[in-house]
Amino acid sequence: MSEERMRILNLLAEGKISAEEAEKLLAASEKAVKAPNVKSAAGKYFYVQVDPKEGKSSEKVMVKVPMALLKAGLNISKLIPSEAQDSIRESMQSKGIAFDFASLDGENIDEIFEALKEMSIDVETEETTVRVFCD
Amino acid sequence: MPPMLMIFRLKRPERRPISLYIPLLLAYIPLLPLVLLALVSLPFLAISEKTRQYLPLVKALPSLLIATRGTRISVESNDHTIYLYIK
Repeated sequence: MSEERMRILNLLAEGKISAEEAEKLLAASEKAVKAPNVKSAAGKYFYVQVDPKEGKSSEKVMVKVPMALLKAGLNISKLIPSEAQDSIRESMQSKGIAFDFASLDGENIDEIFEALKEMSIDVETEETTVRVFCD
Repeated sequence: MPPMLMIFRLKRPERRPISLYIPLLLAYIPLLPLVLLALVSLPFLAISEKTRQYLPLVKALPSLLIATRGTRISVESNDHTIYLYIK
């Protein structure tokens, strides 16, 4: 049973919400899990582009990933059991990456994707130019 | 709908380019017995609380596969050009 479902049932058991409210909340939480908001990301792509500088012999790389794939990945990360999330968090923290899966909810994911639309990262090295952007 | 076609192209100088159109259905058919086996074993996995936690994750995996449609990867160098497209 998911944590969210358990929380709703606990609220019902404690009498803080009615059976009807619990039913609505459960239906909404199931809907959120089953139907990730992929439509809004339709037609949008995430690009990683590596261009060699003039006269350099580096490879030219272009990776085009549908935003729906990123969104599906983030939505799946929410379904990772808390026990596994803890060990992932500990492992990432030991490598200096402070990232908490539990902080990812539907709103945060939408915010991340809104921010990604505006995002553009350019990295210039002696040999290549790396661009990460969305379109 | 899951991706149904994978296009792979390899271009090399002074050599005939290779273009492969791989129908992914051919990859799904051999995997079908494994999927059926997984479906049969789901009720047994659901008995244990520890494995039950992973069931939503397993159920959501097809959505990840579906979302791979449209992925393109291309690598160009002086010697070759590799292009991969999941359709």
